[in-house]
Amino acid sequence: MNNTSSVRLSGRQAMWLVVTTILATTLIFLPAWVAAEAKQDAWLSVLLSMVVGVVTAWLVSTLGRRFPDLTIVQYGERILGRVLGKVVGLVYAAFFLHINTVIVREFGELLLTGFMPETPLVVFIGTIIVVAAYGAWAGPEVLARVNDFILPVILFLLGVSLFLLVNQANLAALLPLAEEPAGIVRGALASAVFFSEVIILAMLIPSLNLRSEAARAGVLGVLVAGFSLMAVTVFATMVFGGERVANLTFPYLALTRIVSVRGIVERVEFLALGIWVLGGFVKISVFYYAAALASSQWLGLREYRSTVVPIGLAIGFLSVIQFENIDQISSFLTTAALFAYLPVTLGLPALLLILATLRGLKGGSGTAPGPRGADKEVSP
Amino acid sequence: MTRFRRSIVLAGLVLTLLLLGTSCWNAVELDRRALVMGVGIDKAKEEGKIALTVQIVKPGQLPTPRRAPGPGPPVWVVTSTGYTVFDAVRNFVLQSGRKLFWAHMVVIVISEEVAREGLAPVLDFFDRDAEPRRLSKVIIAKGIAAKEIMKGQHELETIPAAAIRDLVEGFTSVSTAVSVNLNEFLKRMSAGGVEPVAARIEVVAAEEREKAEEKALQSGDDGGMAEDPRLKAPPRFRVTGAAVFKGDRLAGWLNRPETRGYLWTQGKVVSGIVVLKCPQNEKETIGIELIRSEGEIKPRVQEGRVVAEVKVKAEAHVGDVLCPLDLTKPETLRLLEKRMNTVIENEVRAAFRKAQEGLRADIFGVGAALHRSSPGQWKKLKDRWDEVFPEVQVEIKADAKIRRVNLVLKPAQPK
Repeated sequence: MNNTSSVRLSGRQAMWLVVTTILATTLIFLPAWVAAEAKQDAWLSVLLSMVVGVVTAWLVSTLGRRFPDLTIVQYGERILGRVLGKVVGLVYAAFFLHINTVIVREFGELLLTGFMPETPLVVFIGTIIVVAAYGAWAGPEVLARVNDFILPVILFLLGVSLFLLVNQANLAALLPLAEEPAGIVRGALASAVFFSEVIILAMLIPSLNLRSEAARAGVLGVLVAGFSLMAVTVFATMVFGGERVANLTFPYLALTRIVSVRGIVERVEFLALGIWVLGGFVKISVFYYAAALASSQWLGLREYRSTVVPIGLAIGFLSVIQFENIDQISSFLTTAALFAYLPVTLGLPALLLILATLRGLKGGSGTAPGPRGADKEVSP
Repeated sequence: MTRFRRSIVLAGLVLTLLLLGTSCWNAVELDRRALVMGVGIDKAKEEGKIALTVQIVKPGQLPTPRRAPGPGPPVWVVTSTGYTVFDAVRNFVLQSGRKLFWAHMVVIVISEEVAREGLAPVLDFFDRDAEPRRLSKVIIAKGIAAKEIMKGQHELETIPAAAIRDLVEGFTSVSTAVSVNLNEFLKRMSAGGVEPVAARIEVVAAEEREKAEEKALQSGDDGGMAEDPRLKAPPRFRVTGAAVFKGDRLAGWLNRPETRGYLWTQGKVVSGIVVLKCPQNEKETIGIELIRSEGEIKPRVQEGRVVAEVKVKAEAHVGDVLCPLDLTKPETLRLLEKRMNTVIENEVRAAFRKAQEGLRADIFGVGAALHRSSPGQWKKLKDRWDEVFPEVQVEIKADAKIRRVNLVLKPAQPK
């Protein structure tokens, strides 16, 4: 066996991980939530919303340059002191866990609604958590290599499915342009949460071989994911019209279902399914890893892997019990999540950066171990 | 050695998983599925109930390259009722023993009676459920129950529902009918400033049958006529014109010239024949074959009135000439083009007259076009668009080009 002495991601791999993490599950339903506010201007909302992602990426990577060997849980403690730092650490551990419960639930809901309506939700959730647990256990380097294969497949499938819709797309459906600025802003807020997922960089930076590339990885990752989401939104609007998109549960799934090229190329929803399962696996694994690493660092454990099993159980239980139905998920993500997630992904990093700059704090290795648990050989 | 053993264990694990992971939870094999090809929606006799009539494929009766078709019709036509569409759909199981599979349904035929009361309630199931596609054609049955349409047969196509779809899609070669799928219908229904249209289907054979029966009555000899195979033949259908909706309610119909007038404005006239009168002799005619067309509506607000400028461009060939016309001269073609412009303008005007005066439904999307070009004006008008649209002033500009005369210059004449 090769001796993988240290976990190292290249800047490009980090960027690709960011792209998959933002894009994977978001693209299936995002256009509906944005169009509910912005109608035919939904794509402008997505464009505007990328700003949130870019700012988050900049904040996190700037902090990462100050504390290159630490995660946000660790440098939070450095900056704020032990007690407040522990509070912030807990917030991040809880955040990564909680966002994953929502993603896992969505993952199951689409499979249930769109493909296998009679299968119990627990089957989907259980399966993906077991697979993602393996991904989280294996660590970021393995995930990045898997993603090196998966992301090109996702982008290819996405490109093909959109290209097949050209014959049904009506460019005029995008007019009038920028009709109601307030609606565009509201739509941008509804999609801000998804771009703020770039916060995972705060847990991945210590695994990068060149920490200086973090900013580029984050910003480029947000832009690639953002323009892909914009393309999906544009097509959804051109095919269904601004009013209809807002009423579809899974607009991208609907897009693939309506593909018809001369009656020969039809029923290509397997493309959506492929993107969903492949991308869902990477996304859930990445957040799983972040949650496990954050909680182990918060607890001062030496090995992040010792938290993988309990975190998985927590994700599984919470994702099933915290939402009673699909409407609660979408209303949570478009409204409550703004107040629950954005302060964590945008507010806290900004605060930390300001304090670190004022106090002139910089630092190397942390009090708790970095992601060194993953340094060891991955043995099945 | 340990590596070898490990790979054996791994291989065993993979094989076991492969065997266990072959199927989804509620898998149904293809030969156990009841494939619905088309559905007809009527009101049931009982108050408040809906009657669905479906065509289910009988796979054994379909011809394949290796096997001749079995005896009997290739589809099974069944009717079921329920308080909602889904209720009726599930009630089919009581008769079929299998749950119906909707993913291959190609047509949704709705009776005039149901359409007049509103389509939104009956279409929701087909929009919401994961099996049906939004590509199914929406068709309104004029003057006949949708059930009767489902019972019909077609001489060329084994599955009647597929034949109905072909009839609808065939509109492109005449451009006097419309083809609308569920997605397009719902898109227009939920958008502002544009009203939906749908295909219209009606019976052809019924009149013939009535005439024959009448004749039999008059002659007092029904024995012979009853054996006439035409009388027992299932009804034949024709898809022509268009059904016009206001919101989700059927408002009325367009006849064939009006339908083409409507299609001109949408740039959807693909092909078709325009019949012109001969210049020398008004009784004789010329057939012009359309090759392509473009149409555009440009609305503007002028002195408080909405003016819709309709621009139509058409390209055509000379298809057949029934009078001795000298087609070698460019002036002749120019003359024909002028006459063709008049025909196009008349058709568009007729469509607008019907939509504005008769049906008061903006099927052209004048409102939507106004929304696109001047959102400010639209904001002021949209709430009372129903009253504004009938007053919209229409300016029609047709620009026809006859490019070719096909294989003959002057028609052959007896000497």
